[in-house]
Amino acid sequence: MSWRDALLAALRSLGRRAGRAALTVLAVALAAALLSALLIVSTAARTRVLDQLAKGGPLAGIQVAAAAPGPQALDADTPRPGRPRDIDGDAVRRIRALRSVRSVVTLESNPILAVAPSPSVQPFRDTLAGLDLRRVRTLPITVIVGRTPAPGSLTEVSVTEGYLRRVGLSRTTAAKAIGTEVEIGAPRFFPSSADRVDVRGRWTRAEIVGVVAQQAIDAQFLGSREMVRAARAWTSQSDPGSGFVLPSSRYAGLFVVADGLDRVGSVRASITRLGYSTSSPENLIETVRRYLRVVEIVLAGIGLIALAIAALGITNALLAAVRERRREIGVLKAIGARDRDVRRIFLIEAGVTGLVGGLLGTVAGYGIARILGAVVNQYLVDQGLPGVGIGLPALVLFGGVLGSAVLAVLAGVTPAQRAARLPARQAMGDA
Amino acid sequence: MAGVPISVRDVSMHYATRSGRVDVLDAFDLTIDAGERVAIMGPSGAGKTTLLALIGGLESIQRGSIRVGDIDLATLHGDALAAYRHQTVGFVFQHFGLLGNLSARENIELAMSFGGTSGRDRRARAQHLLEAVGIANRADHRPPELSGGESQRVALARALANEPKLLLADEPTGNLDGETAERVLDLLDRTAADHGATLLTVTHDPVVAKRFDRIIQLAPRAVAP
Repeated sequence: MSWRDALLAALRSLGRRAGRAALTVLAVALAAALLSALLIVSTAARTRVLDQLAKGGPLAGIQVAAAAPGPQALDADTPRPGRPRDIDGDAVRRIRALRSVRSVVTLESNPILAVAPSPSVQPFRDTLAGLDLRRVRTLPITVIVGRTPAPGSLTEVSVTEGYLRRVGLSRTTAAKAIGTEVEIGAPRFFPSSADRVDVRGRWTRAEIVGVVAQQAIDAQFLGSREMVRAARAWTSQSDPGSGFVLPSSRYAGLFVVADGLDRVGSVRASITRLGYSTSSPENLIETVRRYLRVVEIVLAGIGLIALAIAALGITNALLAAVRERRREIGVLKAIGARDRDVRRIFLIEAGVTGLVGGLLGTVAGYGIARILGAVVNQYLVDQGLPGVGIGLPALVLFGGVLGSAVLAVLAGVTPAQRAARLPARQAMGDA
Repeated sequence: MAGVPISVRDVSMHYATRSGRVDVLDAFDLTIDAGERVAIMGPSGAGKTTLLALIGGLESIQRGSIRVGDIDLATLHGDALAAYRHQTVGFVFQHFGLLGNLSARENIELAMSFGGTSGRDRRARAQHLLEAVGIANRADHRPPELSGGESQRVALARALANEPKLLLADEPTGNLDGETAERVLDLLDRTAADHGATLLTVTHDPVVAKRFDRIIQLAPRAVAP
């Protein structure tokens, strides 16, 4: 019997039991959809998110403190800085000129007094951090709720979780802080008497527009660079006789982005040689990569389990078909079919089921991944991060379709073997 | 095409069942001439169908020998046995044995597909056989759409597809009413004669058996403990 004849016979047989064949195809399709969707999503997560972040994103960033390097400065992600060391415009220029440095964002800060809207919260001293908010995406700042202040705004701030705790809120209730106003006072110190200092504040009423998690600088308020500069201009006029000393460094820190994750180490070393303390999450990203790999393996495992279940479904359906078609198989043998002709028909039935199921499932999996991608992208865009492109990798496409077909053929081996070994006497009924 | 002689010598056959061993044939001998038309009769369990299955190569011989023409069936296994069934034997079953998902023509073509006959030749011969058994107008109908008599005609046409030297019919009229059975038997007689094939038919019906050249009566066997 030729392959063509066997294929036709198998298709006819599937068509005769269309309901069962459809259910079996559906089981394979669901499993293939699950596997391909998981693989597409995890592949996108690894190749797009991580790589995009690593190439010029926050994860390839180096924080430079206004301090000299401490001992073992390059051996830890968050080294303890040494003595204070000013970062001025010249230092920024030199760091910018270093090899493999993609960009440098300056961070500025000023001490402030803050008055929360709740009367039960005492006024408190803290720090207002500022930066060029147009470049906030390149910094390790994550918006928990709301947004970051508009670039150049003098009346908007974001707060951190520290502020939330102070006013009795948590991350889950952070939205309640949005839209409230906080009074921020830049202090100017004057000597009043021998043991007292007078403080005059330059008060600004600022609206809280967002809550952020940030590791860029130790401050509970994040505003525009212009807002910080105005505060600093006021505070810097403090009377030296008051005993208050404003840090002399023009910049509280820098955020340096390297060309890629593999360049972070060399850039850190160069900045250390210039005399500044650095830290970076390069070990963190390696750890994240390993975890993503583990997640990929787990997801693929789940998909493979689903496929294995589908394969068992194929085996079961074909075994049932063999039981039902004992006499038919006997007749085939009585009219001249060899064992391998019968085996071939059943294997083709299994293969066709797997091929069709795999094709439908892979296409459906791609659709599911696109939907998931749209949801994830919405979240990423809300977080101020670039979206993720969901593609259909050729390996997943061919692997999903051919893999399902091969698995189905393997699942069909036992039933096909059983059918092939049925005695021809079955044509006359059970002896 | 000409029929083949059959020689059955000292053939014994038994089955193991839950109730014990069942001997269906015991040192059985039989000789049939080429082109002879023989009816096999006997009560249920006498071994009529088993004898047919042994001669047709559907069953392995446990003891004794069966020769069909020059072929010693005891020496055939696997592909060789399949080739014997394909080239030498044509079966007609009581239950017709047609594949329900194929049309009448396709059922006949299927029997030729195991021998490498080209598609065009298969179609032409199937059409010729359908005309010969008088149901060319039902060529594209599937078995569920055919009557019992029509189904058995298709089964007969399929049995003749590979020009067999030996036609084996197991209760070919068992599922048919009297008038239809008569027409099918006429057709079986005529086609076997036309093809010169040896014809061996199992039947319970003495009236049917009388139409044949010879009647072989099998005796019942006891169940051994």
